[in-house]
Amino acid sequence: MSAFLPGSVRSSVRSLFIFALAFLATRAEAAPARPVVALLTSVSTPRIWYRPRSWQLPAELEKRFRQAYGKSGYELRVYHGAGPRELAEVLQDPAIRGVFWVSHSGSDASTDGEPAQWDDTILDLHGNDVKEVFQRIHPGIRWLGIVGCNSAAIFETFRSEGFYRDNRLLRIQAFDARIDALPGFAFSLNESVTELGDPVRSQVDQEARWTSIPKVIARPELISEGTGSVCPKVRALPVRIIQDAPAGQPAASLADLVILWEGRFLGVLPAPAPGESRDLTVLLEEEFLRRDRKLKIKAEAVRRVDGLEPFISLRFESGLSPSAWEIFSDSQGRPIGTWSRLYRHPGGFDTGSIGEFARYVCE
Amino acid sequence: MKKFMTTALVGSLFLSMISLQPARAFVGFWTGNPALTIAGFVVAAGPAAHGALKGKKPGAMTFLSAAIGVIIMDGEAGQTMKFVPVSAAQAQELGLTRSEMTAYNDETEELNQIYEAVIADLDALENPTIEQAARAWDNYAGSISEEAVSGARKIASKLFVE
Repeated sequence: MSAFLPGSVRSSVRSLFIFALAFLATRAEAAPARPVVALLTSVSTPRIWYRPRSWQLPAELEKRFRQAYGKSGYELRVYHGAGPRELAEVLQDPAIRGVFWVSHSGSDASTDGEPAQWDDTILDLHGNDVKEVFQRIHPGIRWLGIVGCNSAAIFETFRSEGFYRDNRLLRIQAFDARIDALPGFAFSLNESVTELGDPVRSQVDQEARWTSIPKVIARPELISEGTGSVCPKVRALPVRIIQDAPAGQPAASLADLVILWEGRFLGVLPAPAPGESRDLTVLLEEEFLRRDRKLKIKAEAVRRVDGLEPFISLRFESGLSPSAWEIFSDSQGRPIGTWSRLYRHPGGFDTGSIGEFARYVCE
Repeated sequence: MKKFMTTALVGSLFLSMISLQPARAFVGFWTGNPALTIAGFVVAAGPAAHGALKGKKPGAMTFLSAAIGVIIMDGEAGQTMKFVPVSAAQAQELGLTRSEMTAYNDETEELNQIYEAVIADLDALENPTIEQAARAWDNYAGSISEEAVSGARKIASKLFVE
């Protein structure tokens, strides 16, 4: 058709087209990343007599999540079979505003027909306790919904221990009773509206919060805001933790490692491929460095279905003497522990290595 | 009839309220090698330390499900536990001396590593016994202080119900 147009018009159309492309490209570059609401599930599908065999609980949860947040204006991310690594990535991502975690927690199982008051765990699909991962939550996150039995006390403890002192915007909703996944998730979705949605425009049936699914519309200011204003800094000693995997090491023996410092979650060191290295830099906060007489870092292997007994061998680079790190071993020098290793340092550090660092990645 | 209906309604409301309360079972059967491991730890101290375990067989031990100095975790694969630090008041209640309390609190991480190692040792055996668990503990006990071991043993012995 352009062949029938006069040359001057063709030229104008071409110019207009180029201008439009350039304009769109500029807009695309200027547009901020959309904030994200994430659903992480780590549950198997129970056998329910009235459900078809093809029915899957994680898929059902995702369907309800998309029903609630599909037209909210947020970007949605869904992780099924999530473990400590996926959870840590989400909880420390500056783009995330809301998180829903659905899994078993410690009191789900019963021993004598009654739910026993076993102490608190939040278990993923493979039985890894991911509780400590929830100690570090990005200050940009406004909503954390935990759908699992009896986990409310865990978060009260973490809050009282000061883990959430940077999280002024955060509301955590967790249950202090046994709960089924679907009604619990419906309740959590409905409760999230006041933090992530526009209560006026979002439909929330207050009478049926355990069964109805809300239609969430985000408040405009939540879509446009960044996290720059909530980016806390901390005085700390950075430590680089490295795992080198020998070339002949079976891949199934190389697991993600949850790194803990006296029960405090530092991060997840991803599993290297055979013959490769992976590293993670963690911050040892000055406040705790001065309090703890001996420095102990524990690496816990994340269990998975195809996992073999894990290979764990770490190196440390920091202002602490590298040669002073020792692995906790028996009298014959064999490391003690199968699924975890404990590394000890007698303490004493170069104060010059302590600096001020951002506790989280900020936009 | 109206009175009956009212009573039934009030009764069912009352029962539904009860069922919403979180249940607390303080005693539970604890089976498998994690239980055997902790029993072996107590037995390793000698016959005087394990009155509650006398004549008991693995799988028939009754444990407190809430105790001081340990966290008991109930997963789909069974129960396990970990040692956690104790306060001075809790140490006194448990009968720990000051040096036992200090050593125990300093070495809880190490105790947990050993606990895990003993479970793995028992997992490699067919039908392990309490005595084998006790011997496995002895293999590692030299890696931590005697005070930490004796403090932990006092805590572990409180887990058993006569």
